[in-house]
Amino acid sequence: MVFLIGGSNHGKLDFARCVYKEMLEVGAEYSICEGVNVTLDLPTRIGVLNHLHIYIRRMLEEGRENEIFPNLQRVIDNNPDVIFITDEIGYGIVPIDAFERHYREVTGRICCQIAKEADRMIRVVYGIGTVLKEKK
Amino acid sequence: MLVVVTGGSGSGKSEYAESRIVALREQYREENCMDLESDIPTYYIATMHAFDEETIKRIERHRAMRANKRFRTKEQYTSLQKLELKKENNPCMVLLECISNLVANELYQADGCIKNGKDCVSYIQMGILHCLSQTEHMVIVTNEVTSDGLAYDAETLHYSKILGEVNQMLAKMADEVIEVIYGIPVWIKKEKVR
Repeated sequence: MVFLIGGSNHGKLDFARCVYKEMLEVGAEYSICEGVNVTLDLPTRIGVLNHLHIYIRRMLEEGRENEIFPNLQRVIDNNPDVIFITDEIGYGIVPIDAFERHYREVTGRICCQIAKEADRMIRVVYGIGTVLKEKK
Repeated sequence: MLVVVTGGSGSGKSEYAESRIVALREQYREENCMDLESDIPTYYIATMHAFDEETIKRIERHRAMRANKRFRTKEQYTSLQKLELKKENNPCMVLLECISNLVANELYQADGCIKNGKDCVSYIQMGILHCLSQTEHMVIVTNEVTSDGLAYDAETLHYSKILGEVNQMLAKMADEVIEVIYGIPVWIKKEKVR
Protein backbone atom coordinates (compact mmCIF):
# COMPACT_ATOMS: atom_id res chain seq x y z
CA MET A 1 0.00 0.00 0.00
CA VAL A 2 1.19 3.46 -0.91
CA PHE A 3 0.09 6.41 1.21
CA LEU A 4 0.13 9.83 -0.45
CA ILE A 5 -0.39 12.87 1.73
CA GLY A 6 -0.22 16.64 1.29
CA GLY A 7 -2.20 19.85 1.34
CA SER A 8 -5.24 20.20 -0.90
CA ASN A 9 -4.59 21.01 -4.57
CA HIS A 10 -0.97 19.97 -4.42
CA GLY A 11 -1.29 17.52 -7.31
CA LYS A 12 -1.43 14.27 -5.36
CA LEU A 13 -3.72 12.41 -7.75
CA ASP A 14 -1.68 13.51 -10.78
CA PHE A 15 1.43 12.38 -8.95
CA ALA A 16 -0.16 8.97 -8.42
CA ARG A 17 -1.15 8.78 -12.11
CA CYS A 18 2.40 9.62 -13.24
CA VAL A 19 4.43 7.58 -10.83
CA TYR A 20 2.19 4.53 -10.64
CA LYS A 21 0.99 4.62 -14.27
CA GLU A 22 1.90 1.02 -14.98
CA MET A 23 0.34 -0.26 -11.84
CA LEU A 24 -2.92 1.53 -12.56
CA GLU A 25 -3.00 0.38 -16.20
CA VAL A 26 -2.32 -3.24 -15.40
CA GLY A 27 -5.28 -3.44 -13.11
CA ALA A 28 -7.87 -2.36 -15.64
CA GLU A 29 -10.61 -3.51 -13.34
CA TYR A 30 -9.05 -1.50 -10.57
CA SER A 31 -10.70 1.82 -10.24
CA ILE A 32 -9.99 5.24 -8.88
CA CYS A 33 -12.54 5.78 -6.13
CA GLU A 34 -13.43 9.18 -4.75
CA GLY A 35 -14.05 9.65 -1.06
CA VAL A 36 -16.95 11.93 -1.82
CA ASN A 37 -19.10 9.24 -3.49
CA VAL A 38 -17.52 5.81 -2.96
CA THR A 39 -19.86 3.34 -1.30
CA LEU A 40 -19.33 3.54 2.47
CA ASP A 41 -18.66 -0.19 2.72
CA LEU A 42 -15.93 0.29 0.08
CA PRO A 43 -15.71 -1.92 -3.05
CA THR A 44 -13.60 -5.09 -2.98
CA ARG A 45 -11.36 -3.93 -5.83
CA ILE A 46 -9.76 -0.52 -5.47
CA GLY A 47 -6.69 0.89 -7.25
CA VAL A 48 -6.75 4.35 -5.73
CA LEU A 49 -8.85 5.77 -2.93
CA ASN A 50 -8.68 9.52 -3.42
CA HIS A 51 -9.85 12.06 -0.82
CA LEU A 52 -9.68 9.56 1.99
CA HIS A 53 -10.39 12.36 4.49
CA ILE A 54 -13.79 12.94 2.88
CA TYR A 55 -14.59 9.23 3.21
CA ILE A 56 -13.65 9.43 6.91
CA ARG A 57 -15.90 12.46 7.29
CA ARG A 58 -18.85 10.70 5.66
CA MET A 59 -18.39 7.69 7.95
CA LEU A 60 -18.34 9.98 11.00
CA GLU A 61 -21.51 11.72 9.79
CA GLU A 62 -23.16 8.30 9.64
CA GLY A 63 -21.95 7.44 13.15
CA ARG A 64 -19.74 4.61 11.86
CA GLU A 65 -16.41 5.69 13.34
CA ASN A 66 -15.48 2.21 14.54
CA GLU A 67 -15.83 0.70 11.07
CA ILE A 68 -13.46 3.11 9.32
CA PHE A 69 -10.13 1.43 9.89
CA PRO A 70 -11.44 -2.15 9.58
CA ASN A 71 -12.93 -1.17 6.19
CA LEU A 72 -9.60 0.29 5.08
CA GLN A 73 -7.72 -2.73 6.39
CA ARG A 74 -9.95 -4.99 4.28
CA VAL A 75 -9.14 -2.88 1.21
CA ILE A 76 -5.42 -3.26 1.94
CA ASP A 77 -5.78 -7.02 2.39
CA ASN A 78 -7.65 -7.37 -0.91
CA ASN A 79 -5.47 -4.89 -2.80
CA PRO A 80 -1.88 -4.95 -1.55
CA ASP A 81 -0.89 -2.29 -4.13
CA VAL A 82 -3.70 0.12 -3.32
CA ILE A 83 -2.89 3.84 -3.15
CA PHE A 84 -4.55 5.91 -0.43
CA ILE A 85 -4.56 9.67 -0.89
CA THR A 86 -5.49 12.17 1.80
CA ASP A 87 -5.33 15.88 2.45
CA GLU A 88 -3.44 16.81 5.58
CA ILE A 89 -6.26 18.54 7.40
CA GLY A 90 -4.70 18.87 10.86
CA TYR A 91 -2.60 21.95 10.21
CA GLY A 92 -4.93 24.78 11.09
CA ILE A 93 -6.45 26.45 14.15
CA VAL A 94 -8.42 23.94 16.23
CA PRO A 95 -12.04 24.42 15.10
CA ILE A 96 -14.67 25.74 17.52
CA ASP A 97 -17.26 23.28 16.22
CA ALA A 98 -17.12 19.96 18.12
CA PHE A 99 -17.74 17.76 15.07
CA GLU A 100 -15.06 19.54 13.03
CA ARG A 101 -12.63 19.11 15.89
CA HIS A 102 -13.43 15.43 16.23
CA TYR A 103 -13.16 14.93 12.46
CA ARG A 104 -9.64 16.38 12.40
CA GLU A 105 -8.53 14.32 15.35
CA VAL A 106 -9.95 11.02 14.02
CA THR A 107 -8.51 11.63 10.55
CA GLY A 108 -5.08 12.12 12.15
CA ARG A 109 -5.35 8.91 14.18
CA ILE A 110 -6.53 6.86 11.20
CA CYS A 111 -3.69 8.27 9.12
CA CYS A 112 -1.20 7.22 11.84
CA GLN A 113 -2.52 3.66 11.52
CA ILE A 114 -2.30 3.75 7.74
CA ALA A 115 1.25 5.16 7.93
CA LYS A 116 2.24 2.24 10.12
CA GLU A 117 0.92 -0.24 7.54
CA ALA A 118 2.19 1.57 4.46
CA ASP A 119 4.95 0.10 2.31
CA ARG A 120 5.71 3.59 1.09
CA MET A 121 4.57 6.99 2.28
CA ILE A 122 5.07 10.13 0.22
CA ARG A 123 4.25 13.77 0.94
CA VAL A 124 3.44 15.72 -2.20
CA VAL A 125 4.12 19.46 -2.21
CA TYR A 126 3.33 21.35 -5.43
CA GLY A 127 3.47 18.11 -7.36
CA ILE A 128 6.89 17.11 -5.96
CA GLY A 129 7.05 14.02 -3.82
CA THR A 130 9.23 13.48 -0.75
CA VAL A 131 9.46 9.92 0.49
CA LEU A 132 8.84 9.78 4.25
CA LYS A 133 8.81 6.02 4.62
CA GLU A 134 9.97 3.11 2.54
CA LYS A 135 9.61 -0.46 3.72
CA LYS A 136 12.72 -2.42 2.95
CA MET B 1 19.83 18.99 24.79
CA LEU B 2 16.65 20.74 23.67
CA VAL B 3 14.33 18.93 21.26
CA VAL B 4 11.27 20.64 19.77
CA VAL B 5 8.54 18.38 18.39
CA THR B 6 5.80 19.69 16.15
CA GLY B 7 3.01 18.20 14.03
CA GLY B 8 -0.64 18.53 13.05
CA SER B 9 -3.53 17.38 15.19
CA GLY B 10 -3.70 13.63 15.66
CA SER B 11 -0.22 13.26 14.16
CA GLY B 12 1.22 11.18 17.01
CA LYS B 13 3.59 13.94 18.14
CA SER B 14 2.88 13.45 21.86
CA GLU B 15 3.59 9.74 21.73
CA TYR B 16 6.83 10.43 19.89
CA ALA B 17 7.85 13.17 22.37
CA GLU B 18 7.21 10.86 25.32
CA SER B 19 9.31 8.06 23.92
CA ARG B 20 12.04 10.55 23.01
CA ILE B 21 12.43 12.00 26.52
CA VAL B 22 12.49 8.47 27.96
CA ALA B 23 15.19 7.51 25.44
CA LEU B 24 17.21 10.62 26.36
CA ARG B 25 16.87 9.71 30.03
CA GLU B 26 18.10 6.17 29.48
CA GLN B 27 20.93 7.43 27.28
CA TYR B 28 21.93 9.81 30.07
CA ARG B 29 21.79 6.97 32.57
CA GLU B 30 24.10 4.89 30.42
CA GLU B 31 26.56 7.70 29.69
CA ASN B 32 26.87 8.49 33.37
CA CYS B 33 27.06 4.87 34.49
CA MET B 34 24.00 5.18 36.69
CA ASP B 35 22.30 1.94 37.65
CA LEU B 36 18.71 1.17 36.67
CA GLU B 37 17.48 1.66 40.21
CA SER B 38 18.71 5.22 40.51
CA ASP B 39 15.99 7.78 40.12
CA ILE B 40 16.18 10.34 37.32
CA PRO B 41 13.05 12.46 37.79
CA THR B 42 11.22 12.97 34.49
CA TYR B 43 8.75 15.81 34.71
CA TYR B 44 5.74 16.16 32.49
CA ILE B 45 4.77 19.82 32.46
CA ALA B 46 1.11 19.98 31.47
CA THR B 47 -0.22 23.30 30.21
CA MET B 48 -3.78 22.31 29.32
CA HIS B 49 -6.60 23.42 31.58
CA ALA B 50 -9.40 20.89 32.07
CA PHE B 51 -12.45 23.08 31.58
CA ASP B 52 -15.01 20.76 29.98
CA GLU B 53 -15.71 17.10 29.33
CA GLU B 54 -13.76 17.06 26.08
CA THR B 55 -10.55 18.44 27.60
CA ILE B 56 -10.92 16.08 30.58
CA LYS B 57 -11.18 13.16 28.14
CA ARG B 58 -8.20 14.45 26.15
CA ILE B 59 -6.12 14.76 29.31
CA GLU B 60 -7.20 11.27 30.39
CA ARG B 61 -6.07 9.85 27.06
CA HIS B 62 -2.65 11.43 27.49
CA ARG B 63 -2.43 10.23 31.10
CA ALA B 64 -3.14 6.65 30.02
CA MET B 65 -0.47 6.94 27.32
CA ARG B 66 2.05 8.17 29.91
CA ALA B 67 1.29 5.53 32.50
CA ASN B 68 4.23 3.14 33.01
CA LYS B 69 6.70 5.70 31.69
CA ARG B 70 7.45 7.03 35.18
CA PHE B 71 6.55 10.65 34.56
CA ARG B 72 5.88 13.12 37.35
CA THR B 73 3.16 15.47 36.24
CA LYS B 74 3.29 19.14 37.13
CA GLU B 75 0.49 21.39 36.00
CA GLN B 76 1.73 24.81 35.02
CA TYR B 77 -0.69 26.83 32.90
CA THR B 78 1.33 30.05 32.86
CA SER B 79 4.70 31.36 34.07
CA LEU B 80 7.16 28.51 33.57
CA GLN B 81 9.61 30.60 35.59
CA LYS B 82 7.78 29.48 38.73
CA LEU B 83 8.81 25.85 38.24
CA GLU B 84 11.31 24.42 40.69
CA LEU B 85 12.53 21.14 39.23
CA LYS B 86 16.09 20.56 40.31
CA LYS B 87 16.67 18.98 43.69
CA GLU B 88 20.15 18.98 45.23
CA ASN B 89 21.86 19.08 41.88
CA ASN B 90 20.43 15.70 40.85
CA PRO B 91 19.83 15.24 37.11
CA CYS B 92 16.29 15.53 35.75
CA MET B 93 14.42 15.45 32.44
CA VAL B 94 11.52 17.62 31.27
CA LEU B 95 8.76 17.11 28.74
CA LEU B 96 6.69 20.25 28.19
CA GLU B 97 3.31 19.85 26.49
CA CYS B 98 2.30 22.00 24.82
CA ILE B 99 3.31 25.44 23.57
CA SER B 100 0.02 26.20 21.80
CA ASN B 101 -1.85 25.96 25.12
CA LEU B 102 0.83 27.87 26.99
CA VAL B 103 0.64 30.74 24.50
CA ALA B 104 -3.16 30.84 24.73
CA ASN B 105 -2.95 30.84 28.54
CA GLU B 106 -0.37 33.61 28.65
CA LEU B 107 -2.46 35.66 26.22
CA TYR B 108 -5.95 35.18 27.61
CA GLN B 109 -5.87 33.91 31.18
CA ALA B 110 -6.36 36.28 34.12
CA ASP B 111 -2.86 35.49 35.40
CA GLY B 112 -1.35 35.49 31.90
CA CYS B 113 1.69 37.62 31.17
CA ILE B 114 -0.18 39.98 28.84
CA LYS B 115 -2.47 41.10 31.70
CA ASN B 116 0.71 41.94 33.60
CA GLY B 117 2.09 44.02 30.78
CA LYS B 118 4.77 41.56 29.64
CA ASP B 119 5.83 40.67 26.10
CA CYS B 120 4.56 37.17 25.46
CA VAL B 121 7.43 35.84 23.35
CA SER B 122 10.26 36.99 25.61
CA TYR B 123 8.31 36.01 28.74
CA ILE B 124 7.91 32.44 27.45
CA GLN B 125 11.55 32.39 26.38
CA MET B 126 12.64 33.31 29.90
CA GLY B 127 10.43 30.56 31.28
CA ILE B 128 11.98 27.99 28.94
CA LEU B 129 15.51 29.14 29.80
CA HIS B 130 14.60 28.86 33.49
CA CYS B 131 13.58 25.20 32.91
CA LEU B 132 16.59 24.46 30.69
CA SER B 133 18.97 25.66 33.37
CA GLN B 134 17.60 23.00 35.73
CA THR B 135 17.44 20.00 33.43
CA GLU B 136 19.80 17.78 31.47
CA HIS B 137 17.43 17.18 28.55
CA MET B 138 14.19 18.85 27.57
CA VAL B 139 11.59 17.99 24.94
CA ILE B 140 8.98 20.58 24.03
CA VAL B 141 5.80 19.79 22.09
CA THR B 142 4.31 22.51 19.94
CA ASN B 143 1.62 22.50 17.32
CA GLU B 144 0.99 23.30 13.67
CA VAL B 145 -1.97 25.60 13.75
CA THR B 146 -0.96 28.20 11.23
CA SER B 147 -0.28 26.15 8.16
CA ASP B 148 -3.69 25.89 6.50
CA GLY B 149 -3.62 29.46 5.21
CA LEU B 150 -7.30 30.08 5.91
CA ALA B 151 -8.67 33.54 6.66
CA TYR B 152 -9.35 33.75 10.38
CA ASP B 153 -10.65 36.63 12.50
CA ALA B 154 -8.24 39.26 13.85
CA GLU B 155 -8.02 37.73 17.33
CA THR B 156 -7.12 34.29 15.96
CA LEU B 157 -4.60 35.81 13.57
CA HIS B 158 -2.97 37.59 16.49
CA TYR B 159 -2.73 34.28 18.38
CA SER B 160 -1.24 32.59 15.29
CA LYS B 161 1.33 35.36 14.95
CA ILE B 162 2.49 35.09 18.57
CA LEU B 163 2.59 31.28 18.41
CA GLY B 164 4.57 31.49 15.18
CA GLU B 165 7.08 33.83 16.82
CA VAL B 166 7.38 31.56 19.87
CA ASN B 167 7.96 28.56 17.59
CA GLN B 168 10.68 30.42 15.70
CA MET B 169 12.35 31.38 18.97
CA LEU B 170 12.24 27.75 20.13
CA ALA B 171 13.59 26.43 16.83
CA LYS B 172 16.52 28.83 17.08
CA MET B 173 17.37 27.59 20.58
CA ALA B 174 16.79 23.91 19.83
CA ASP B 175 19.38 21.27 19.04
CA GLU B 176 16.76 19.35 17.11
CA VAL B 177 13.42 20.26 15.55
CA ILE B 178 11.27 17.35 14.46
CA GLU B 179 7.97 17.29 12.61
CA VAL B 180 5.98 14.15 13.32
CA ILE B 181 3.88 13.22 10.30
CA TYR B 182 1.34 10.50 11.13
CA GLY B 183 3.78 8.91 13.54
CA ILE B 184 6.87 9.32 11.33
CA PRO B 185 9.56 11.70 12.61
CA VAL B 186 11.11 14.04 10.03
CA TRP B 187 14.08 16.15 11.12
CA ILE B 188 13.80 19.83 10.24
CA LYS B 189 16.89 20.75 12.25
CA LYS B 190 19.66 18.55 13.54
CA GLU B 191 22.74 20.10 15.09
CA LYS B 192 26.04 18.33 15.17
CA VAL B 193 26.92 16.89 18.54
CA ARG B 194 28.61 19.60 20.55
